[in-house]
Amino acid sequence: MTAALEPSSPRLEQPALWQVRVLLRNEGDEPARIATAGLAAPLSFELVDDAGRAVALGPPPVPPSDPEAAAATVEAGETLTLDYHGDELLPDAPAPGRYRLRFVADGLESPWIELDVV
Amino acid sequence: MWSNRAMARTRAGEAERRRSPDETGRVPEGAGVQRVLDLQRQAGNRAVASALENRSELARQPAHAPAVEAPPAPQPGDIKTREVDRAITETISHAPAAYSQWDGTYSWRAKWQLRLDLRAEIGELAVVVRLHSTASARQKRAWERAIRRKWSDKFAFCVLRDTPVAIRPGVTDDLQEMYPIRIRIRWVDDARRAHYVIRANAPGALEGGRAGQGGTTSMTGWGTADTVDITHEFGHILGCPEEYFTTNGVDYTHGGRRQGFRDRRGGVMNNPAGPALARNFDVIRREAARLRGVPRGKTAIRPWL
Repeated sequence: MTAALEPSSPRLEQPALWQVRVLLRNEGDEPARIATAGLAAPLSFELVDDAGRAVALGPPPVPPSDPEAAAATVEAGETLTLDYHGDELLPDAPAPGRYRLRFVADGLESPWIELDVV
Repeated sequence: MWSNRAMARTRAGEAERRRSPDETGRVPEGAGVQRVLDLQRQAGNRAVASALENRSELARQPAHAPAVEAPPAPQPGDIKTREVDRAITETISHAPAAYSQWDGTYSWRAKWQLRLDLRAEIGELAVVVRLHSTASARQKRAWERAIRRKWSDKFAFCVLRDTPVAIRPGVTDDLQEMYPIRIRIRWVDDARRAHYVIRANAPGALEGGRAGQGGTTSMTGWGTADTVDITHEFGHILGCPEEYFTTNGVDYTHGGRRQGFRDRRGGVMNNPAGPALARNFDVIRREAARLRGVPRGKTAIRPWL
């Protein structure tokens, strides 16, 4: 499985008006199962500022009683698309500046993308 | 004022009026105030509040019970307001392996308006939260009702006496002022005027593979089929951190004796189906102490029975 990020814009002015798409592609030969409980935005992204310091995301949802109960299956060669609204990661915009963002969940890591908060 | 059928208490408005050279300390007759106080002596604050909301109940009061008039218009200084915007940070640790993604540090801002009504006839601390959402009016009502049932009229913000008053041997009263804490949600059309923008998430839609309880995915992503977990998310808006796994160094498994989340006896920030607890009003207490102009150590959160 590979992960990639596609932001709606490299500039973030208002989190509620900004989105980021995550593409999880199964490049293997077998279907892949991904538990969805751990895919909530605050749990599955890393944001760092220009100096590499971690920026805390918004509070996570309450853990479900069974984290494996809900799952998505990605067939071989298929891609699972996850769309996140910016305010799911950041209820409030961080201070203006340059940041880097990546998706990290279920053993998957996307490449970092650059993000300018204005 | 009289708030518990036993002890006299004063509110700031009264105390200030009593300091006026024109006043002797007696509440003026004919203003309706004395009648309310009489009823409070006999039946307590809750009965009076209920009666004020439902005039028909007054008819069932004993014959000697006074009629209740509308409270007087607020005088300058009777109502104090304060916009709150406070950074909240929490660190979750020691999550079981299956939940290891929850370990980490999170941050958000608690934003609302505090409105302290010092009038003896009203006497309340309102937490006014302006929300914007494109959800239907029916959906908003359902969310609002669930939030009020969870958080409103459960506890009171109290100002403590310098010296507790002895009622009888072994029983003292330490409360000088008592204001029930009430949640007021104001749905606003203009998102720019809102403290928060609430996104309505359909349950089962998975939003590309994700799912939450009834659609609830975050502090501001509320499920259209959920009126439980949103009360936990509203707790974050009030400034409450999680109370599950280990949060900010507190072990909510109680040494492994509990699951540590969604526990049957847990409060709302551990188990969204659980009740709001006194400690969940700590940020409100701090801000209310500043608004009231008293040291935090001279305040308390007590059940509003």
